[in-house]
Amino acid sequence: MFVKHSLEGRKIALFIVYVDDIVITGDDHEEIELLKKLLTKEFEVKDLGKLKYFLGMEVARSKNGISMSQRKYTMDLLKESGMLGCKSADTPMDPTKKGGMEEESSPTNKKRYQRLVGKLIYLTHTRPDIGFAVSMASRYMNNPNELHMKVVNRILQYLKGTPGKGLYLAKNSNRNLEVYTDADWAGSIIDRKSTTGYCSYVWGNLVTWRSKKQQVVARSSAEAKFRALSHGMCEGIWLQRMLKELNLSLDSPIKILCDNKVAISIAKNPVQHGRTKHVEIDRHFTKEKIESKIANLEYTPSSLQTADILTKGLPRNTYENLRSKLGMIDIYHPT
Amino acid sequence: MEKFYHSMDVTFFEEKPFYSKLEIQGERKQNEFQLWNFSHTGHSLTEPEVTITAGSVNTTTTPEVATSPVNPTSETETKISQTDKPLLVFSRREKIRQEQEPPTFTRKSQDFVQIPEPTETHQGNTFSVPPHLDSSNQEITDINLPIVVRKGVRSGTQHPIGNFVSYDRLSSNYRAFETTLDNTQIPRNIQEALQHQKWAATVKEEVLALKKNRTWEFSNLPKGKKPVGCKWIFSIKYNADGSVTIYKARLVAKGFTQSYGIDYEETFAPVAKLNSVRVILSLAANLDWPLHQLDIKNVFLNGELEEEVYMTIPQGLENPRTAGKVCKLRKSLYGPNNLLRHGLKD
Repeated sequence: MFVKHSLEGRKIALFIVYVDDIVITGDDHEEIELLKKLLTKEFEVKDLGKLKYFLGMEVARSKNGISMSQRKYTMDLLKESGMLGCKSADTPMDPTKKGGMEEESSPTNKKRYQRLVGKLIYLTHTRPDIGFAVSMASRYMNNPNELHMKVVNRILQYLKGTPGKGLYLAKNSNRNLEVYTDADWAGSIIDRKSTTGYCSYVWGNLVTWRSKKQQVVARSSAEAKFRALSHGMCEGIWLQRMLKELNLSLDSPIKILCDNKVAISIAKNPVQHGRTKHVEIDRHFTKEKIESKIANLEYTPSSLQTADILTKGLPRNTYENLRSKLGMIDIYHPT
Repeated sequence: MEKFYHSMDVTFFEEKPFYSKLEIQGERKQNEFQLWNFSHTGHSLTEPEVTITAGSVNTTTTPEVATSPVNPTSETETKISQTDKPLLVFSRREKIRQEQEPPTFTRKSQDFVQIPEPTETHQGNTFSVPPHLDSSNQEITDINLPIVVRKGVRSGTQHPIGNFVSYDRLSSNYRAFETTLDNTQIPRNIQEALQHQKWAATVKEEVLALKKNRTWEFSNLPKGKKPVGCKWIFSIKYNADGSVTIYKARLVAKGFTQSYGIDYEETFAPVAKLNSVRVILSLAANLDWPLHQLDIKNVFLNGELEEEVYMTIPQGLENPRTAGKVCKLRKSLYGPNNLLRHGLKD
């Protein structure tokens, strides 16, 4: 990604390169034209006009926002896996089979499994709703068995029900940066490690998210959530830095939302505590950021905790409720 | 005709039963033959045959399942409705030992026969249908019906994808784009591509461009060197209105067969983080920035190669003159790891 600011520092031209695909944007129209000319001179360039199809993502623009979806990619994936005619599922994961993936089962076709999961990972670029399920499936890339294959099939079944779902980046007046962080404590049955989940909203639009198994074992749920919190903080800082580079400042400090009061108190309490002595680095990191007014911690009730969707398989009601908060729409949905 | 030899010097023929076929109760050889004949000639079923088959349904139903009411009128109607279009009729050969083993193929009728919606003619039906067994879930036991009739019209999946995607809410412009996106097929290999005129033309164009660029020269492979494989890749680019702009063909080298330190030293390619792409798009949506897309043709094809890279002759370019030789790359091609860097040096 390259940025050029005009001399007055008001206008901006942006330039994103993905090997040979280029997206140009910005409000400095002269600079954009100049850039195009320069590129045409240097390379053989084909101007594809308005952004429509970038790296397998379909981009549609309306007056109120931009929608990104991977409908064709999803359809091709369903076709390839022979799941085009399957029954659809409401959620990408069966909430009742939490630890089912660790059970023994006969090995499955490893190549097919890896290919499918690889494709699903690419699909998560516009589908945060399958983020956790895919990250779960990708933990077993090395030695997949039939049960893992079932999980993948369930994701495909879910996709069948919602192939056109994609991100919607709406225009709104909110100029904040919000990061929701959550963790599923001791979610893994084998090693009792927790899962971090965070999703960040730039100006009210969901842009980045992550579902990741934590590296170390957390001894309490507060500790797990605390680790997730510092993870989310890192993401927030990165986003803030990026916005700063684009000369766009935020109205207020980064808002970090967590549904665990204990984790918030740990972060706010400057006194070294006996039970937190082993999470020192994360603790000092968050404390420093809060004290320098870069980030702000806030409590949010679990029902509004969107990051929850990235940490565990949820029952249908909760899932749909949280999914609606991810700002996803389906422009292909039959009415 | 195929023969199978028994150890006792007995010859079996595929078509003929070794033991003479027995007439059994309820079997109508005549019908079977006729149906079989029809299937062979491809004639459509005519009404008389159909009713006879329907009759044989009743005779072959075994006593204990006969209590479950088979509604002959509705069945006949199904068959008649099916005779509207010409059909190929296949039927299962009736089993000889049918008497001893009553057919166990009892299934829900909706799997086999599509029972039409009850019409006025059915109102005067005198069949006493038990309340729990109405015509929608009665059991059909006869497997000797022609398969077409037995299975009814196949509906395919019960969960058609159309329930979940539609283009209704898109602007006509964007819809056109989506449709072409779905309709154009991308060939997987060179053989497939050469069968289509458009693709063959692009291949030719690419070869010409490479030749003009003097990308490689033919040479013998020096000892101790391994050639890199190569492959054709095809893709399509679209216009704003959904029409196809370019049919792309690219010759790529299989760079993954190279090893670090021997074939190449450093590698780099500019790849944007998709997270940042999303951030930018979000900003663009909020600030009404225009979004343009550009595509660079032959990005890496301009750099001179420093290392020696040998490549096998691409498919579609082989001829007797070059047999046994390899291409020594003079300029870069897509794929070899050391080439990405060259593109950026210029």
